[in-house]
Order: sequence, then structure tokens, then C-alpha cells
Amino acid sequence: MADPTTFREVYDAHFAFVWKSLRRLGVREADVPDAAQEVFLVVHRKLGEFEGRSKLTTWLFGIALRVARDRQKLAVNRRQVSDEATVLAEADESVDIHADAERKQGLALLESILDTMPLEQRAVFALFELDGIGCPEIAELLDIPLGTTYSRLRLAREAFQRAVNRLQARDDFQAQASAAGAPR
Amino acid sequence: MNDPRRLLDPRSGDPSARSLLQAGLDMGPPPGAKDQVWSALSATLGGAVAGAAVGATLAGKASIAAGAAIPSAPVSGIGVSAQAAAAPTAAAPTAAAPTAAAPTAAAPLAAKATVKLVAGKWILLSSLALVIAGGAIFQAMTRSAPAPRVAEAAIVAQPGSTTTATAAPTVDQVPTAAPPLATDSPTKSAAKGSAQSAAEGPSVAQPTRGASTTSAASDVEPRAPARDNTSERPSDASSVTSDTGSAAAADAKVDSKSTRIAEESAALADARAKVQSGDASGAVAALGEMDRKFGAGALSQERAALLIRALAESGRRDLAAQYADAFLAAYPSSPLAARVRPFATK
Repeated sequence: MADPTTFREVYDAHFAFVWKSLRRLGVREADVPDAAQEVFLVVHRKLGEFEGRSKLTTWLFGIALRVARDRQKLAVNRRQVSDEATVLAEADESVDIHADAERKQGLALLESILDTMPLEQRAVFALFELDGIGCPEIAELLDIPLGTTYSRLRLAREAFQRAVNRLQARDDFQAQASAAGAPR
Repeated sequence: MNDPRRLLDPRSGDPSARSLLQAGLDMGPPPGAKDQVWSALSATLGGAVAGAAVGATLAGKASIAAGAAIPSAPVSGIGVSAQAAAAPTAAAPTAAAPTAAAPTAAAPLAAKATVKLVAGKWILLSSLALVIAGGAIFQAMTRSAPAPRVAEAAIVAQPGSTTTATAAPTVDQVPTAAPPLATDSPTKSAAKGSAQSAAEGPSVAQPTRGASTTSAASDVEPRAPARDNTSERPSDASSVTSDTGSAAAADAKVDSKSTRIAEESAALADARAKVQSGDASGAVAALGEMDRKFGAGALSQERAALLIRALAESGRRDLAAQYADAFLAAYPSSPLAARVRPFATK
């Protein structure tokens, strides 16, 4: 059983990392407190077994990945009705011009795209593109070969670019429609 | 092989991709999240924090427990039980149906929350959520669970016992099974604890299922199978009773209830420590003892999850799987589902 002091130290030092990782891995903001709790319950249970063979963050990320995967399985059922197109449409229907709303809308768009990626690709993509971590370090963090890291990144970027192109095409269409005086 | 240029790099040449990704840069925890999760964690781990901390745990879980189902229904129900006799509002019949799923612990807690105001709503909401979800599972799983719960119902029924009969029918979804169950409280002694019940085999989920005829809790947990309703029924009566009964009586029970939750929390921590130290069989026995002592207590869902794990680790993997299946069928969106899922058969 984990030494409570150590556990608290791990919690204090890495709570933000765990939170962010869960978000990166597709756990919705409202669900993150609970998911983070799950992660740290595992940490609490297994901290004694952690022998420092990998970096602590690698270990934590691995736990977060498993928790996120479990939740994703659950969420699939819930989200089946809201495929990508629906999510995009919903996000676009918001005409709120407040900055926060815009930020949330942007985030919703981004997440709707990330949601279409397999979790393994998404993890690599988010760590590389959003956290600015290099592929060798990602390979270490995820405990996968470097070549696999690169190929996952490539696939994820292709998927991302396709989504961006679709969005762009839609925006172009709307701009044209608007210019032609034909409100949507 | 070198890393490609990042899409966020201004030189990457795709402003659309860049602006999209920028929205994802800020994904850190909001202020207060760290403390909130820590309190929840402390309570779940059975630390020294009781009462309010348990509420915090539950608050965290409440938002997750049943997806979108929980928040709206119990909130309206809270008003009813928190205000006790003071405000038997017109909404009572409908609001009480979801609320009714709360065991007797909810009423005293409600009274206290009203007095303290601070985070009272969350404590209540969370209590309701866990209790709704948690109370049912042990009843669904074991024969013994109904008795303790019913005993609790009987206790709370005392202040307004005459209103029990009249109050229950006002909630049109409260099934008639409730009063007969209440009279069964002497059978509490028949409870053998989950460990023993667990060992009795596959039929554990059956006994309580038959009585289920209505969907009083369907708003709360739409996907929950029929047995949920059954297990929540006894508390329907108690909840309604406490609403129409004496607020002072509920108040008087607040302290004992808080103590009870603290005891339950501590006992759960002991059982968890047993599992963690490898004494899974000891944990199963301890959880059985807890079942006898606390019945459908506030932490019974936690108990169920731990029992499933303890059973698996003590070699009774089949039984654990069977319990896990029942748990997941009843509470697919429970925050504990992720912990239970590895033990399920599917």
C-alpha cells in the first residue's frame, strides 16, 4: 500500500498532468474529476509496485490512457447519435460571440475531430501537436517503438487534415451562400 | 527520422489547422479542481474525512453517475426532502418519485444541509446519487440486503408512522410492495452478509426482482433493469414519510447518520486495506459483515465494487463476474463501472 505522504506528493506534483492527459485523451471536462479520481485510486493502489523502471509520468500516462479507454467504450454508446457531422453542426449553430463561447466552440470542434481518431493515434497527436513533445519522448511515454510513434502521428495528422479540409469547404460554402443573400 | 514541423508552428502553412489546435492548448484543470478531487479521493479511500468529504465524493460522482439522468431529477427531489414538512409542494408527487429512491439517510442529511447551506445541495445531490445507485446493487445481488434497509425505513417511519400509509399512495408510482416489506424488518436477523450470500450462487439477483412492477426510478436511471426499482422501493416509503413527517425528528437523526457514514467509510477503508494487502478472503468476510451492519448504506455501491474485486482476487472469479455483470447492467454509467468492468464476463 502506498505511503500516504508519497501518494500525496505524487498527487500534488502530477495532478495537473493527469488532468491534462485525460482531457487530451478525450475525457470530457465534466467527466475529468471522476476520471482523475480513478487514475489516482489506481496510483494509490499500485504506487508501492512502481519501481521507477519508467518515468513516473509514463506510468501515470499509461494509467490515464487505460481509464480514458474504459470511458471511451462507455461513451461510444452515448455518442452514437452524435456523429461527427452532428457535432460540427451543433457547434456551428451557436451564434454566441463571447470569447468564452468561442473558445468552447473551438474546443468542441477540435474534440469532435480528435474523437474520430483511434485513442492510440489521438494520444500521439495530442502529445506532439498540443504538448510539443518530441516523438522519441512520446515513444517512451507511451512505451511504444519510435517507428510506431511516427506512423501513428502520420495517420492522425492525415485524419486531422481531412477534417480541417471538410470544415474549410463548409465554411467556403456558407460564405458563398451568405454572399448570395441566401441565409442558411 | 526527424519530427515533422508542428501544425501549431506558424511556418506550417495551414492557418485553419493552427487555429483549431490553438483551442486545445488550454486543457489544464480549473481552479479548485485539485482540492475537489482530493476530497473525493480521501473519502473514497476511507480516510479520516467523513460527512462533508463523503458528500464531496458523491458530488463528484453525481455528475457522472447516471449521465444526464441524475442532475435534473434529484435536484427537484431535494427540495422536497430538504424542506421536509415545511413545504409539501405541489410538485411532491412527481418529484418524490425520483427522490424516493433515496434511502433514509438522505432525509437527515437533507435537513442538515438546509441548516448549513454550504454545499448542502451538493452533499444532498451526491448522497442521493450514490444512494440511488448504490443502495440498489446490494439488494439486487443479495437476499440479505432488503432487511437492513427496511429496518431503516421502519425507524424513520416512527415519527410519522401514521402518515406512511397515506403518504405512500400519493406518490402514484410507489408500489404496494413497500408496506409489506416494512413489516418484514424482523427478518433482518436473517441477513447473512454478502459474503455468505455471495457464496450461495447464481440466483442472488433473483429474489428482489420479482416484486418489481413499476418504474418509480426510471427517470433516474433509465437503463437500469427492473430490479433497481425493487430495491429502491422500501426507501420510497421512508422518503415520503420523512417528507411529511417531523422535520425535527429528521434533524435529530442527522448526527447519528453522519456518524454512521463515517463508520461505514472507515469499515470500507479497512476492507480495502485487506484487499490491498492480499487478504481478499478476509475482505470478503469484512464486506459481508458491513452488509449486515450497514445494509443499503451510503457507500454500498463502493462496497459492491470492492466485493467484486475481493471475490475475484480470492479465487471466486465466476461469482465476481456474475456480480460485475449485474452491477454493470444496473449502473452502466456508474463512476465505479470502470473499476467493475474488468471483472465482467462481457
